[in-house]
Amino acid sequence: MQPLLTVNNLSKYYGNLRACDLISFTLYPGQVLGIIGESGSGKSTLLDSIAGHIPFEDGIVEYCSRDNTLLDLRTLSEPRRRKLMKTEWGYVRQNPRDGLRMTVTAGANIGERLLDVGERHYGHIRTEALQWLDEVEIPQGRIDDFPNTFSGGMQQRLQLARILVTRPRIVLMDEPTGGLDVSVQAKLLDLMRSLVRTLNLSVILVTHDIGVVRLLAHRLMLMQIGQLFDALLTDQVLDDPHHPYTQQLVNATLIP
Amino acid sequence: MATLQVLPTPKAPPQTQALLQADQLYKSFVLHHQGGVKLPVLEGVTLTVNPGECVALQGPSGSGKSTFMRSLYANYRVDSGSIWVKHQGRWVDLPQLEAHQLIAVRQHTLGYVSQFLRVIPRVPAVDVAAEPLLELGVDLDEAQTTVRELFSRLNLPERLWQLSPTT
Repeated sequence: MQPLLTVNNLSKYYGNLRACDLISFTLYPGQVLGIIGESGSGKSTLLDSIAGHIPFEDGIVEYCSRDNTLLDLRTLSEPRRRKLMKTEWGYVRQNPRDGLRMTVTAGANIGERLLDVGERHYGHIRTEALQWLDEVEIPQGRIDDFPNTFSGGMQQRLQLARILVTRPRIVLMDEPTGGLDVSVQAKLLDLMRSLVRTLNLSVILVTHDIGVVRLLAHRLMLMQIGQLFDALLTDQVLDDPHHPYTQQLVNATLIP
Repeated sequence: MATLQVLPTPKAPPQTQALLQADQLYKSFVLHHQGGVKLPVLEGVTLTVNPGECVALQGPSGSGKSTFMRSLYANYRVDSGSIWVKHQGRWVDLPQLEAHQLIAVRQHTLGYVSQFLRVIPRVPAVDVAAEPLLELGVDLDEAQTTVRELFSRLNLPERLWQLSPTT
């Protein structure tokens, strides 16, 4: 199997501070990779670097696109990178209000992404928006409502729909369930699980919540002070922790 | 037409009818936050399992039975030794596999039944059991039919099928 994404010795510095220090990993199709770390470990910086939101100093990020070309994301031109982020990649932000356009309706939020990729038929766009609302379990009748009338959980599900409508191959998620109450989190995680399977998504998921990775992630990486370690299967890392930090993390969990 | 059997590295097991061969497994635990104490649990364990065999691991509490089982599933990582599994006709050594290859072995070849069933609380039993088939690309209806047949065979009362296993 050909890897979808190869990250090799990615390093991001802020002066003398090594936010990401020689990070390397490979992501295959259909895999969910969780990144756990405490605040300040560099996990969000890593995600932002991979997504091209911030530049990084050293290393290579190589992506195998839908038409089987290997793209070096660092040297990719800005217009191409932005097109990639709208078609083959997706980024779910922790706060859905940062990932949605609050001044347009729910349907428009989803439809906009279709317009971006050249869809022009209003009927088709509306039909697809309705289907996606259904897919993320938002009542179809809310299609013409504005996102600020939605609950936090619904906004997050709307963000998911907006991102998934263009059938991305990789989705980056930064604390997607942060700030949601437990039952809402549960519903969102169930939804993500089935979408990963039905759409054969690859996901890089940043979180500090072990419960989320147990449920969603096939593989788990731990980050501490910009360093990456323990990039194995989730159950291997959590059931047989080797690294002192991993042991500390697992022992500190309230729910086993 | 005869096909060529490609054997893996020189350490591969000699007989080919076996399905699993654990060779000289060593496994210890180091508890970093409890004074760095080292607990050796498996010391040179070897086991061969042939098709149709049912092997019972018997021993006193703390003798390493669970550790051994979990190591065979690669849930626990061994310090040294090989775990040869016949996966799709070829021998593979679990500790040497990459993550995506291990996932494939678990999807197609190796199963694990635990006394502690860890499931998402809200999903019905029939969907929990169908998920591995769905991951292999099997159609939803077909997967659920297969599961229902198995549930009947295992004498699981039908009224429980739509309930979460945590019930």
